[in-house]
Amino acid sequence: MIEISHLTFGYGKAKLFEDLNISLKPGHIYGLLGKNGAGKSTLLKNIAGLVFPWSGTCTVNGIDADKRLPSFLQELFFVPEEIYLPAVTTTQFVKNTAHFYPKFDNSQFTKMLTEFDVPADKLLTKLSFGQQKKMIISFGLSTNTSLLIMDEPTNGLDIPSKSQFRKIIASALTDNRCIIISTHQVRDLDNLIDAVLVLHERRIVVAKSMDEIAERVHFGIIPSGADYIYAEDSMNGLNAITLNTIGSYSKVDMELLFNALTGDNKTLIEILNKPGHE
Amino acid sequence: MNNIFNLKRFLLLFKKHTIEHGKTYLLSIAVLTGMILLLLGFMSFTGQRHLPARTQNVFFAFGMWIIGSIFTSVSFIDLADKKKAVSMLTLPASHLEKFLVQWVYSFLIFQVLFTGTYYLADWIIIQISNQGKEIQNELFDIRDPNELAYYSFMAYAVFNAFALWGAIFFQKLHFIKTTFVFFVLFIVFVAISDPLLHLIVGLSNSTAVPFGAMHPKTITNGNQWWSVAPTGSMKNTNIVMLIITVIILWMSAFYRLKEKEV
Repeated sequence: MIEISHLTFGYGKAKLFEDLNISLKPGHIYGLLGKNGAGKSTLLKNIAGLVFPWSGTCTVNGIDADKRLPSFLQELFFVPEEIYLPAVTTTQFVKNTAHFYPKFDNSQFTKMLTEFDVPADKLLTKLSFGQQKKMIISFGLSTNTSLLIMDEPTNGLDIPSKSQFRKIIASALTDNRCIIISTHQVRDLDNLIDAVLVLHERRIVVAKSMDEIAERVHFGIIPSGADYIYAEDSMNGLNAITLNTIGSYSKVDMELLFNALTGDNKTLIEILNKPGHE
Repeated sequence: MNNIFNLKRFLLLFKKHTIEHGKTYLLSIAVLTGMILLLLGFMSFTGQRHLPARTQNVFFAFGMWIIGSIFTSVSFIDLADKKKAVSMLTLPASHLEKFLVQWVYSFLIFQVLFTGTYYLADWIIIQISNQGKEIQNELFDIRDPNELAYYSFMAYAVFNAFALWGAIFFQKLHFIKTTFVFFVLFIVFVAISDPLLHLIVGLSNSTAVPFGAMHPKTITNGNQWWSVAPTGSMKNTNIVMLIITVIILWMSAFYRLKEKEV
């Protein structure tokens, strides 16, 4: 699906990524996490062909992203953090744009729009930012492209919409589709993603499925004095990541994992990337 | 699937562009009509309701070049806005189709609409000016090869190509920056034209318009001017060179679109 090989990219003279290698498969929802300025949006732009690698390649279904060929673009939908919509109604927008995506499903779109409570007959420019975002997310999902990229999609969504968003995204995943969601609000991806990519200091420090992570480490409250890989104080004691030695699965605490990885916890990075457990 | 050009996809893109920008274009035509009416009306008023065909011709040509260049220089303005650029570049159509939509609008459609609008406004002013007048003003004839308007379409291709190149090459202030580059190049051509001809032909004391005929003074009689210009099949060299320049600029704009990053 997506093959990023030895990708190096930056702006001006500053390198943002160096020798990046990732392989993403269809049938998954990937959460791309990283601190502000880590390069999440830039990595997504590389995948979408909006910027060109300094060296290395980025291919989607075997096609070089930077060529931006129609055959590549009709299998990709990119929801940027800041969106532009023309001064037409949703209905007109669909009428003028949907035919560029051969697998667009109008009934699916109408259903999502209703769930999100976005009016179809109002000018897109007159909708609130949250409504615009919900409209474009619904449109992107309804294109049924094999790759859907969303950059900070929950920004601007209210709390009920965030939960609707999770529900809708989960229902839109198929075996042939790969969804990448980038965010720095890790809690928004709770119970949604099934694999995580953490971008930190010019490289992907972890690219694992949630199951693999839960298999190797355990998340939970531990008594003080107990061994841990990473821990943070909480109301109930130490909220910690410990080595999963007994094979008991716990729910991955995204925020704790994110803090540990972006805090340069080398032990955790090593445990998660250790070969032989895949 | 044809990844370079597909007529159906191009027409769909053209339709999308027209629907999304139609209101702006209609408003622009209304403003353009008003501007021409004002300008020609003013000329007629200050000239005692006399509006010669030559004046109409000159305003037509310069109007087309200036307004056309301004219009063309904002063709790719969406690429200067990151939000719009993402939407434009990720739309499943080829770079050629995206380029051609802008080209058709800024080159073909603009000339047709400008000519129609100008003639309409000119006709209105002439009708008003001719009221109760003995010597009637006549509407200028675009087909007259002795007038500037006849050549304005060909010259517009140069302005369009330059403006289209600037529209995509520069991030901001497209028209100002493109015009600046245009004038710098023009000055350079004028400055090097004489010494270059002197070097080639070996005649001093001559004048020459860039890409035009040269006019050396005779060596024996300093008061007489010669005109040295290509003849026969070489006569069209300038036109051929101009066409080649235009094509190079259009191609350069197209390849710049292919390389555009957001």
